[in-house]
Amino acid sequence: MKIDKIQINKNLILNLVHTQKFKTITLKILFKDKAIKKESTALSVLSSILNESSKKYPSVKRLSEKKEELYGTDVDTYVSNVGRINIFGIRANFVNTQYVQEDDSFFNKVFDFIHEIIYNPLVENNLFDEDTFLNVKNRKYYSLLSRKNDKEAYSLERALSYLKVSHPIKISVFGSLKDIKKLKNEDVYAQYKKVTSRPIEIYIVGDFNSKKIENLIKEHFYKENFKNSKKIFSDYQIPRLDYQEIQEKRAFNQTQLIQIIHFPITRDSNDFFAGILFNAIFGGTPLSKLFKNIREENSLCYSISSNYVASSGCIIVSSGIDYSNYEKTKELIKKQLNDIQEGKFTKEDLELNRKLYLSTIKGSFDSASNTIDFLSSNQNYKKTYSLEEYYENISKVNLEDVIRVAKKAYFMLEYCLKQGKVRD
Amino acid sequence: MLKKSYEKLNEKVYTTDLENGLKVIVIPKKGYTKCAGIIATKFGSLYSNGIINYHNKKIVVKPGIAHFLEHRLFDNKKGQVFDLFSEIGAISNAFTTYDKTAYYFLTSDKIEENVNLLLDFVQELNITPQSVEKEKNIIVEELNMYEDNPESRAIKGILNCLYEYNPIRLDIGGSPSDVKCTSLLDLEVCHKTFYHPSNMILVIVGNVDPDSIEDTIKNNQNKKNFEKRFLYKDYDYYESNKVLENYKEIEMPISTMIVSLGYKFPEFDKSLGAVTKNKLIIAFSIYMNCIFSESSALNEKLYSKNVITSPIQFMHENKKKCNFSILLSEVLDYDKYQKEIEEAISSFDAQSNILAIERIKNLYVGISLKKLESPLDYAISYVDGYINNLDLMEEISLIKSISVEDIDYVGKQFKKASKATFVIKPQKEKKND
Repeated sequence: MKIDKIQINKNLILNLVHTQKFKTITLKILFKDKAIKKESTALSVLSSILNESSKKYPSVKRLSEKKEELYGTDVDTYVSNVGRINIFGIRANFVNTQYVQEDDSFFNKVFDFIHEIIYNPLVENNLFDEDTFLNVKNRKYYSLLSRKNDKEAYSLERALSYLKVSHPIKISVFGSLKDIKKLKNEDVYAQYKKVTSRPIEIYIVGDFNSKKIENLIKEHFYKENFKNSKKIFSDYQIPRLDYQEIQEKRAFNQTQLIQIIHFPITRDSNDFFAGILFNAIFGGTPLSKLFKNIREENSLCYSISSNYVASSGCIIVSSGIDYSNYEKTKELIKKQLNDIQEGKFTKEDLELNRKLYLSTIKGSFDSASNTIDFLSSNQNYKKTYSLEEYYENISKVNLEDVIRVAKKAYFMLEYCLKQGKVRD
Repeated sequence: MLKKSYEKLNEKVYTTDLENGLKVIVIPKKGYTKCAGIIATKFGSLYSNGIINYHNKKIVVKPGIAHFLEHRLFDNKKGQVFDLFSEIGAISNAFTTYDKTAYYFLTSDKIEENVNLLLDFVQELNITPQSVEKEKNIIVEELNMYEDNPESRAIKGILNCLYEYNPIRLDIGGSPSDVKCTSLLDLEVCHKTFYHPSNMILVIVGNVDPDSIEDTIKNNQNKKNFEKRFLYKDYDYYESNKVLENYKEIEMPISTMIVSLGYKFPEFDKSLGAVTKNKLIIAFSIYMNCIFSESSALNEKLYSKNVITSPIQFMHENKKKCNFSILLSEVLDYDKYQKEIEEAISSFDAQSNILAIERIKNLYVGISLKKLESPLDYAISYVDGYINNLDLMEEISLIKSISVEDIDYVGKQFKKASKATFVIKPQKEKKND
């Protein structure tokens, strides 16, 4: 794997990753800016409008036909937030010419298509086509309603909503029901103008001729104008809040428990790597204390895991249980944290989790998309690490480091979505 | 090992059949960091209710038992399997489907040790009555989790409308009561029957040397003795070509109505060869893409008239004795939805869709190529193909060979299929948020 980083101009960085592993080429274009709550609904609708229409292909039908014709080329825009940063991205995955007996003009067609989706929207007089806008807005409304159907995601959103603080972790990339109703076409168009003036990073992974790809990029993306903006970073520590316990009820069969742990170690902190291994030992893997003791030892659940949200400095534990075991599960989960804080875990626990983590990171380079995610996430932080530095830092973490960071963890919110018949 | 090269795909596949019956496939991939190893047995939920002849005693294969075994095998006498793989730098997992149970590792080194561990833990059942009891609650919570998932309820619901006896109607994990009455003997007998090497396939994909892998596997297997397999006979039943129930509805705490439409087709003619059968299965997908996907006129109509809120999900399955298709969608206008779907099926004419068919064939060529990328996906796809008598490497030529007549045949099948509807209605809840 060979990586070329080409600074095409001040606001356009091209990263070319050469590998012969894949039968396809994967590309991501990232437009980054600060995450702002009141913009999230418009951005979400914007992404859907661009995914459903362009001047040349003005409907879902026409766009889908083109994708099929290009051997199932996946092209879509998406929105994601990493701490303080909002990413408006476009991702494309298309087959390499040699496997479908096409010549280089195929790449031209694909790049034209990608360009079309982002830079030739179905716009007239500074507004998106009104029918498309209304249709997308209507479906977005229903998809926001449907988010309630996913018990775990719904519980997480509810739990975050109870945090008495304004913080980007509370911004949903899907937008909000409250905002969708009053969203106007001009709001979405204004977002479009803003997004396309953000600085961009482009990543391409696959087997290709660099010069040709660089030229294609220049032809398609160089001419656009950018607004000069200040570099922003993801890290944004969530403040420590007073403990809250919340219970709500819905007619599900199983109770969902969400626990939010204040963990003041962000990605740019020196203890970040200790944080990763602490979370792995605590609940991040099938080797973890949560998996072993809550699931395997006490048979209290099938799914349980902890997720370290480094850019926000917190850990979120999620488990699906029977309500009759609610108190017991809660206490046992807390006991697992206490045990780590008191050093009640072994060198072997640390070593196994370290191996598992390193193995997972290595494996991510067998996926083009994960390769891009690893490389691009580096750009969101003040500290950047090469793969070797990353390994080295993980290798250096010792038992004392894990205990030290564990002591900083504090349960600040416990949310329980109780099972049961609501109409009883 | 027997080597076969596929020039156009730039792939090489090495195969061998061991004396004990284990089928071994090695696919060397240069440049990959990871190596995936997967071992699968032809034993999934569709084997439920079949009979095993256990020392002249008839033992019924309980629903959910394939999945239960999958859970139990992870507790090996040497320790927890997740831990054992981690010690040698690998991640591991397993899954159970309608027609198979598969176990895999993904590693970046110590391939020999990983292969040995995979073979050892899967071929040796280590259980006590206590460990069986302990697992039951974990599995019941897994089933509860799926019960709260509207999509999985919609699929289970429609399969129960379509089939009266076919085990496809059962949850892959069984029901909580099936799980609770599973015994140690059930597990042991099924393990001896279905985990015999002659019922299994091992696929290794990664930066490996086929000959040295072969030696490792042979050494491992030569040390083991396998008792003769118990005889297994599929559940014997008569299933009508008509659906069991035309319509059924339930309520769940959801926001928009979910409609699941099921189409039950007769089994394919038994005289059809594997290639023709697989070709027809692909033809079903291409037909459904043509008529229901986002590139279809139907989808455009349903979107513009606000009949559905998200694209229709469609799937077709042809396994053992079942042959059916399912459409799943969130629906705002139920009557219009049914009417438009009916209309699209009845008015379909393959001849006037020649361009669309060619385009969708391109799409499937792309999908097929993408299966050959990550070592794990590759290995899983290979196993899937093997279990369905499809050579993954021939999939693209099979796709290209599909004709308008094949699509026309599927269109006719849809027109005369027996149809069922399963609806999940939003439950009225007290205002909570």
